[in-house]
Amino acid sequence: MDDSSLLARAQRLETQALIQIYDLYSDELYRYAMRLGGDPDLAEECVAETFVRLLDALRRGRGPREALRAYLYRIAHNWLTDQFRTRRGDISLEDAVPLPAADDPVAEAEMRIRRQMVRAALFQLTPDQRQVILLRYVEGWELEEIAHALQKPVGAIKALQHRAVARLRRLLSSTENQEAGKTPFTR
Amino acid sequence: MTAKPHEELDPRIDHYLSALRSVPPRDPRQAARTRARFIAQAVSLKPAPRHKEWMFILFGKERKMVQILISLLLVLASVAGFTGTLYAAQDDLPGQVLYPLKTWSEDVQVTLMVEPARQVERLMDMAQRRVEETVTLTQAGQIPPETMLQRMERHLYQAMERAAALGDEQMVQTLNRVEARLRAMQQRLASIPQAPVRERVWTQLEAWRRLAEAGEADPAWFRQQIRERVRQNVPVSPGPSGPHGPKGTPGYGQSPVVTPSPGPMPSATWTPGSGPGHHPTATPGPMPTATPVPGEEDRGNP
Repeated sequence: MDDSSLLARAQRLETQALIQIYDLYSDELYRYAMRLGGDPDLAEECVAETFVRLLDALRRGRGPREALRAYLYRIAHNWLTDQFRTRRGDISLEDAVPLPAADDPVAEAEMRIRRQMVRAALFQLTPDQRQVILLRYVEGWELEEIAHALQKPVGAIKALQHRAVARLRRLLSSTENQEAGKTPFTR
Repeated sequence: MTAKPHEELDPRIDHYLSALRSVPPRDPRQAARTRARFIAQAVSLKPAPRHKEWMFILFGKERKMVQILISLLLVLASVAGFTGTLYAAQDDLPGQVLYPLKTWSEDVQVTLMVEPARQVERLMDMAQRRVEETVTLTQAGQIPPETMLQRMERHLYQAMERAAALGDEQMVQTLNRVEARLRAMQQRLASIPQAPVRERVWTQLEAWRRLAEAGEADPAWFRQQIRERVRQNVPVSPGPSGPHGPKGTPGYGQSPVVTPSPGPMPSATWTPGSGPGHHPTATPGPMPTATPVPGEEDRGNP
């Protein structure tokens, strides 16, 4: 898909182009929000809010001229960060979906615990560090695209990534240490 | 999802992060609702009204257009302002602030005219203005400045010079009109009380009137006279001299009485029989002193 021609049509507020953009990116934005928050309702709200903000920007003749996906992830990430900041007490980092009838319920439960631990650690990072970790190691993005999303040079993203990984290691190690009988998490 | 970046990551951290990679499937009904809501918003989307905020207009994408618009307005305002000033200057008298602008605009008008006949008319208008200024100042008890009188002299000289460039028939018609206008100017002067300046201006006009009259009778002779005056380097520039009036050479204006000479010029002392066979009738008009100072014609030029 050629983002630039799609964006050009979107800038002209062509409905079909706008729907095309939605269909192209809404699912992955939903997954991104779910990974970070674990709450389907919050993730749907995040998707809806991200596209409302895109429409508003286009309506005012602004919005992205390139790197549409990075733009959408930036909006979604900022929105989620705001939600966690303002609704800290209301949002649980636990999965808000019922445990599925898995083949291995123990493994699934362990997975949930790991998710909760890593989310807790991620939310102790700065928003930029958190986004770099998620986009680079969970979503699998290239550094250039992350640079677009964070609106920073690639060199700055590399430095950010390095600091984020080091801090995440420390946080997870500390969490593990608090878990009785666990081996300290060290490199 | 590419796994490539994971390879560079500590396996223990990757172990934790991998837990985030799998996500429960999205609820299709909820997804459809969100999509329907988006489509409803997209369909009803209208461009936001622009130029609403001054900051956006001045610093947003429309900045260039605004700058062009402002420049145009400034140019228009400048032109309008200058035109207004120019208009206001037309009523100014010598010594007033805008008078130099008035005379400068007159010179520009003459320069912009192409046809000599129209230039003659315009120069006679300008001479008429000088006469009016003389009348106004004299009635106000003021003495018209020397530069103004010199300027009138220059208008008349230039008018004759342009007339000499015309063909015989057109020149005769033009000189006829010039003569009539000079006579009208002399009559206008009669409306002010007797004063040295009145005599002086009247005599100037009379000398030029007689020259025009003689030119009507003999165009070739008239041209010869004008050529002679050009050759003698008459201190009058043919074009506009800027807004500060004529910058005549020293001595210009010291012989205000126009007495074309030498030879058979129809000066105020010209007598029938002394010319080239023509007998223009000197019409002194309403002024009783048509005769200039004796010997004036010997000065050679005005």
